[in-house]
Amino acid sequence: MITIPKKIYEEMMAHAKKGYPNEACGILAGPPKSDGPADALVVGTASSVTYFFAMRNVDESSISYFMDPKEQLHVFKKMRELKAGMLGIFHSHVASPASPSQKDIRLAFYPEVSYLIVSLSDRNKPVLRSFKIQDETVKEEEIKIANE
Amino acid sequence: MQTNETIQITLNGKPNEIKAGMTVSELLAKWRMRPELVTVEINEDILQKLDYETAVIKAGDKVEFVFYMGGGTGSDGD
Repeated sequence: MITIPKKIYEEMMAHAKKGYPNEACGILAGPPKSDGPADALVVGTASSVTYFFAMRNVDESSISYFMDPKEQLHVFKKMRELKAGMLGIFHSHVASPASPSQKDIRLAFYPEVSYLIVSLSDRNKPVLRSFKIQDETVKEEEIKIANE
Repeated sequence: MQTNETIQITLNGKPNEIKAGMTVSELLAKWRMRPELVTVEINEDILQKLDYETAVIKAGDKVEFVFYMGGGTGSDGD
């Protein structure tokens, strides 16, 4: 399960709607994993989101997103400053269901994090779902929107 | 050329020890990362992929790498 404070959930939805008709994307962060010798990547393990970084979709497309690597590197450094780790990768599908496409699955390189997809098929009723993707196997997880 | 010596670098913000003379390609191989899927930055400069095989990591270098983050509804065979 991944827990998202309501304020951050609203930021995510606003970012997705602002990006419409193109896909929008972002990174979710929270408490980091404890240090380990092979833990070179900044990855969070706790399930409670504390930060949302709205990212630019350099594809500027309604059917794909791609984050700017320079912006990614900047956000990863920022997460370290905040003593946070990446918990989730978020993007929108503007006209299709909130489930991972083959492309999403193929390009999921962070098995430890959640992949959150919002469908804006009905922009008044966005549907957000979350998945773990490892070795092209997809498992849905529960999302809790916390009021505090 | 690699030797038995080691050097200290900072890898994604953490201290790390690697063999002296390692190239970026060799470092990625050590971490089992496919070079075509990774962006590498050394001392704030993003490397061109063509340079991965020749770029030798030096003592004190600050190395950062991130995987590509992308996807979407897609139209490439989905």
